[in-house]
Amino acid sequence: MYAIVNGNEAGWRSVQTIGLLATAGALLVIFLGIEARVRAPLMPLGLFRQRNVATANVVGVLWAAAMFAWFFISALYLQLVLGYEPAAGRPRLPAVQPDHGRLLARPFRQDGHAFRHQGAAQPRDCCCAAAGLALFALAPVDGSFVAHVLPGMTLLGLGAGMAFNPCCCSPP
Amino acid sequence: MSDVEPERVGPRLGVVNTSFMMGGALGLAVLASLAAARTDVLLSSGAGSLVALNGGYHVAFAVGAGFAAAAALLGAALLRAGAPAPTQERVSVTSCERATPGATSRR
Repeated sequence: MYAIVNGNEAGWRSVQTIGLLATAGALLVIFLGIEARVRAPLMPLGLFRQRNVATANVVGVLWAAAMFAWFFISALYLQLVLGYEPAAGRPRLPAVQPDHGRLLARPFRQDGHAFRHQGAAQPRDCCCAAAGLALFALAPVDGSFVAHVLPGMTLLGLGAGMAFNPCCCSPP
Repeated sequence: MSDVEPERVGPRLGVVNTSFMMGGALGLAVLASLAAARTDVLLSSGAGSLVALNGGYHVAFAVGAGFAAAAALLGAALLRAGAPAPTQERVSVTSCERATPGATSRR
């Protein structure tokens, strides 16, 4: 993480960046080697033999990579480009409200039906989030809230909120 | 999670949560770096500071949209909605069924 965050400053081909990335890779290989051998591993690698579990993990990484970065960068866009005050939370309500609305409407359930339904809808929900992000990628310097922020934020809130459960709880 | 034997639910949730955290941190690091690099390029080519900043954010949002689209494609191609796993029998005839009556509807 440190290597990536400082990559622009230190240079992507610098000793620092390449050395840190190589060290991280080596540590990961050692970790996997140990986990494969010990009798009671922290992370049972056999879990990844189940296709849904392995897929849900990769989907979860991609989903989180898109969403967490959006939280941060959209705040910078609102504040530095559109000139909103730093503490302005109201413009973000459209994303928060559907997000939590969906999570409440479809709570974590033990029976398979909810998972089955959510699993089938996951691609649609991720597409919805992708469309919201694409709208943000088109937002101009002098964008207005209603025309350029609200639509993308609503799509993201809906899509990301609905896609979270199937990633997190893994469809059957 | 219903793919997993009850005694393995903990590790499995832990692994997925770790993926989320790792994905979030990695995504933010990568996208913020991309945005900063693009902003620098635009600034050095003579763009105004706001335009350069916005150009950097556009790259980050576009790549983020690519991540979400890739997640949708992967899910559509590989997630088997409702397909019973080999361990399903074991789950439904052991602790789950007795503990939660709702679990019977999973098959």
